[in-house]
Amino acid sequence: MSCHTVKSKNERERIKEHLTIALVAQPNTGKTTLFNTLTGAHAYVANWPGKTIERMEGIFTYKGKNIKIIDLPGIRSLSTLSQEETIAKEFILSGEYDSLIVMVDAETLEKSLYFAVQILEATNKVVIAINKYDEAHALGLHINQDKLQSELNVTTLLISALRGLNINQLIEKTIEVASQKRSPEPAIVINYGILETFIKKISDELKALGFSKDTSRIAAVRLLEGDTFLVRNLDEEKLNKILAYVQQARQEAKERTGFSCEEIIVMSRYKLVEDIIKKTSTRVRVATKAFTESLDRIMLRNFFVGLTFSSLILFSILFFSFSINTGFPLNYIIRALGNEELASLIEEYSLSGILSNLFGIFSVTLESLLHVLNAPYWFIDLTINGVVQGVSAVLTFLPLVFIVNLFMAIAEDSGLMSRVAVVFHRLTSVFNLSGKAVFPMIISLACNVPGVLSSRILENENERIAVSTTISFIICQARLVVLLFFVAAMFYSPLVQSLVTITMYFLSIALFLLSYMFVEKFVLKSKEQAELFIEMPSYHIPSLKVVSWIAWERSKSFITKAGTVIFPMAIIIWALLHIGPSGYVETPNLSFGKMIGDAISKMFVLEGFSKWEIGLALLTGFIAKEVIIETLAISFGTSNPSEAISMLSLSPASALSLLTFVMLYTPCVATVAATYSETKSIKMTLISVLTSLSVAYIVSLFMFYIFSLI
Amino acid sequence: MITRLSLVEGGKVVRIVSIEAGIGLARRLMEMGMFIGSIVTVVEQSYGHIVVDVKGARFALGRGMANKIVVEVIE
Repeated sequence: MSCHTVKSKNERERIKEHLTIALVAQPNTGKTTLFNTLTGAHAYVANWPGKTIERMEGIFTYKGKNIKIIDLPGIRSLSTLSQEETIAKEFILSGEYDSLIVMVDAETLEKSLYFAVQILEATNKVVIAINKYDEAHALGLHINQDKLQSELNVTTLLISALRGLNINQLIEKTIEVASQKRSPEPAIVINYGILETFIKKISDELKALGFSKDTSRIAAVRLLEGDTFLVRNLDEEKLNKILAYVQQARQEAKERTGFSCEEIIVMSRYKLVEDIIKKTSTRVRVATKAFTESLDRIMLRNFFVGLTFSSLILFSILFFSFSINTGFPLNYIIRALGNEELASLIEEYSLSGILSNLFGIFSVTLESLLHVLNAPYWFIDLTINGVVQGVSAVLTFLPLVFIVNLFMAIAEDSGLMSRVAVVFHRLTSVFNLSGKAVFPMIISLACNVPGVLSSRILENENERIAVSTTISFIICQARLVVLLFFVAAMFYSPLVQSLVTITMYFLSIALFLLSYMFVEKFVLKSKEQAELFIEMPSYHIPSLKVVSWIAWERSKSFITKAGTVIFPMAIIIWALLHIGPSGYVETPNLSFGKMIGDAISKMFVLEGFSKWEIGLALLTGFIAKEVIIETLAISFGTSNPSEAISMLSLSPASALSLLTFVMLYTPCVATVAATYSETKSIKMTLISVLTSLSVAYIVSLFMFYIFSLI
Repeated sequence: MITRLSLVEGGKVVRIVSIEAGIGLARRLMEMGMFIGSIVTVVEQSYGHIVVDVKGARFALGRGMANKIVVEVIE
């Protein structure tokens, strides 16, 4: 008996987990292909309830849930008439499903999006699948998926039923929507202009008859289009009353505009669709096959030719974005050519130069304003040196991140980047790393945070995690600023300065590759070979729209990732520097920060830079590397960073050792946060921090001994 | 003629006969339109990779990977 009860409970649970999903599309959208892909061999023919027309159904299990998929007949529009189409329409409007997959044909975007919008007016229990995206993309169509998704208010995916592209994601998202217990709402509300007053009148009537707010509006719109399906259950008297309103609306609309209700509705919908398409997609002209083939012959046939071109592309990206941002290396080149004035002009009018000037002016203004307002001294100090500094640390890097992302997006969108990846694969595969890793590496040279985030393009899971764990060895621009200050203060000859700078870069890249290999092999115990498998789109002139989409999306994730971490940390560090055993202190040498700095510096006795100022700078450098210089300046009570570096009075070997440590140890707290968000593992994040700390320590000690011998 | 994709010279069109790879690799290939029965045009054999055309899309494929794909040359 008890056994029986258990069984029926299981039975009930099984039924509860049974989700019904229907596949909706216009004819020729690839619906059958998708249906077959989703159901495999488990499809069967069933009858529509109460009808003699057959329908295809399929059942599959996904993560413990039984999914029934119904293949609705192809339907051109919700206002159509064939028997099969009527069945499909009635099914869609009746809501007897947990979710709909509405397929849109990327090759006839406008037409099929119009159809989708009709459905979205009725329900948001929908996932939009833009099919044949691969083919349309090869012909130059670009769709901004995120933007389209927010315009349509439902999950929207770019798929290829034929190739199986993004199909798993489609299943997951559809089940997610189907499992939500909320009742459907309209995803889109269209403004029908002149018809709105009638729509309101009719829907008010329907509301009085017990229709919900959402249903009454869609029912009114459908009525004005001549579709009575949603009011089919009303008795004749009530129906006639409603229809009389409809008739009146039709007449008035015709008289006032010369258009019929149907025409106005269709036009308004198409206008919306056109707007959406304009905002979310763009078309570019792609190169001819012959052009693609001849350019590929240069890029891919001979390794050394390809490597030369690829390196040139990457070098120009870095050269231009760095020069625009900090003036480096353009200022060095021009200074070497003897034009000192132009070089300093470039520095002053570089983006970071302009920004830091702006922040300087802003700080001073704010400070005097706070003085006028008689704010307490500690509050002014916190605002200026904590809050404003935290904000500026994030914002000064934003233009650089955006520009590098912009140039990378241009290289990517034009089709060049995938060829560069193929060429570099030959070099990186020595470290069991695929060529695509060039991408996060280049971005990391600008800033490690977007660098870590861009490791997503790597398809192999172990590879992706190992890269996000170790890529922070690569010297970012914040560290470059420190590097340049140090070499300028430490060495006189420009030749030695450049040599040290270049050596640091090579050292950091080499350490990235080695530690990557270590993590991949020994921590993740990966057995897979880094295989080359890269799609190479046809070359085309990059579209400004697409490129700015990509660059903005990636920069946005930089702001959120970096901003949320750097800002509070800047305030914590301010507190460390200004609060001591005796409460608020004005100079750091009485603060808790000094004590911590002291403790940290004890570790560097061997290297000969055991000074509390350095220990403290290393701690603040964890917020953002460029702060190191400032901390040193503040600790020595000078405003000139170069002077502070000289005041350290380090031996050349100690100085080089310190510089090496600064270049290699954990870049900043924002990068650590990015590593965690990419690996979703505290263990890997810890490994990342510990690896960089220990490698930095060992290598800097090594440097000290080597240069002490010389 | 049955051979391996890694051995087919540029310009030939082949049909995939079998893929001797683990599930991971086979799935990646499938997602890109390369499964048993697919028609693939070999564009070029190069130093470390092979360039193929699958349903209008171009791919660069490592030699090792291409070696796991058994094909029949059809033209």
